[in-house]
Amino acid sequence: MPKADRWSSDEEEIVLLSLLPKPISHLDEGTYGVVWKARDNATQEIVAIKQIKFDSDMTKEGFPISALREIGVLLSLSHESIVSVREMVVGSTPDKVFMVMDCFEMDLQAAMKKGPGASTPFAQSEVKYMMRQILSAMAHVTSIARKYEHPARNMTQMVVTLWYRAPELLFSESCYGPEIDTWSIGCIFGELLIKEAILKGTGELDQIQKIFKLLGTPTDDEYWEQLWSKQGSTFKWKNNDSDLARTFAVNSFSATGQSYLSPDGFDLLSRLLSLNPKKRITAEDALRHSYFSCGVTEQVPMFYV
Amino acid sequence: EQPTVCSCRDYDGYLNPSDPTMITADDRKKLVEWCYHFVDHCQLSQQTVASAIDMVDRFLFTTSISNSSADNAVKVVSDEILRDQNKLQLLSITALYVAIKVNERVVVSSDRLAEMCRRVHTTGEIEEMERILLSGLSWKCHAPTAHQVGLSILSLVEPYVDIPEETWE
Repeated sequence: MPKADRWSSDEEEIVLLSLLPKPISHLDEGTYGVVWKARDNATQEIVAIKQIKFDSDMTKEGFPISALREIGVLLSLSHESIVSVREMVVGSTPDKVFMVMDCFEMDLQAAMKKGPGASTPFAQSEVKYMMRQILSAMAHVTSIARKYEHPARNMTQMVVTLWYRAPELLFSESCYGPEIDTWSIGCIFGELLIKEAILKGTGELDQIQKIFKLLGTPTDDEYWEQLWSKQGSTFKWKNNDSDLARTFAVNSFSATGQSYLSPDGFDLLSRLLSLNPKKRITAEDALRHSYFSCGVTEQVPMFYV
Repeated sequence: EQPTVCSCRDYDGYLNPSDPTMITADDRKKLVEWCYHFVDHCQLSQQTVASAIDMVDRFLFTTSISNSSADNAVKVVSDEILRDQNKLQLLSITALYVAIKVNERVVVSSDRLAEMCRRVHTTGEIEEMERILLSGLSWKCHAPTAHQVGLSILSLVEPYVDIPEETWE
């Protein structure tokens, strides 16, 4: 167990972990706990320290499940584009448990707001760079998960933030796999292009309507017919054609503030946002897509510098 | 993924003790059987037992050797367990409690587990042991087990040979 006085705050004197929480440099409040920025006194490195949140309900059942799983997964992953948990630290009382992680200046959301000017779109080369990072991280996660998990078993649909949730989840599909993650990456791709979330539903039904408006209603699609008939659904959806090509202009330096998008890029976007999860491109295949091998070479985004 | 991190170093001394006051392989076997009985009763996966026993073994192996960075409290507990069947039972139940949290979709309360062992151990003791177990393992509760490796090999072989589904578990 590391010594408690190993970390200090950004400016202040040494902070004893046992005295936490004490506002040092408050970064963010995640789902499972508060994140602090601190300096490792042994190495002088800046780290992020996340305190696991114990609800009064949770303490009744010991260590929170969600945190336990997050820690377990992060500890078993090792990838340059995935934040790593350096170690776990326990404070003076049992409810003081901290994850010591690599510290990053900002998350993607903040980066999109910052950039070379909030309204300036990312360069195509920058988008490509970020997409490769995201996809290769996801390919790594998928390869690890495939090794240790049972194949497709029934799971809850209450996963993923609504705006990034795959359509099949919104229709209560409980047998799903990594396709739901590539959908989310498709949403992020679109968001990187226009610097705004592309499917901002206000509820589950509205989310479905927004998805079908952008991508068209699935017609003559084996997967969707099966899913709907399995559910005995009689609900009819208004037939829409896909709006994707109109929303994301190809080969144009438009004044609308969209990043330049090559035909290859558009093809990848539409494969990630395939309504049929069985036809959706995998992260591994996406990395082999011509979007990455042809055209502009990748470039580190400006917000890093 | 990181075999060195999860490996145990003091394999020889464990469960083959020359000291008669130490727990034996037989004690461990009884607890493994108890765990299988429990998961069958609750209709949970056998993988959960494999994962729980892996945690028990790793906790006792890795902390039984003197490690300067290892927390003293954890070492004291693991030394106690190596000489006390009752405490070994508490550790096993706790490991099962953690393995269920990590692997299963259902929640099994510490109260249920306490009930299953006829309240020899209280919920408070289980939850306290959970903290000791987790810190002893440095929270590495996702280690691959032989059971998973077996399934993984089977899934690679499966497309080429005809194995009846029943033989998998």
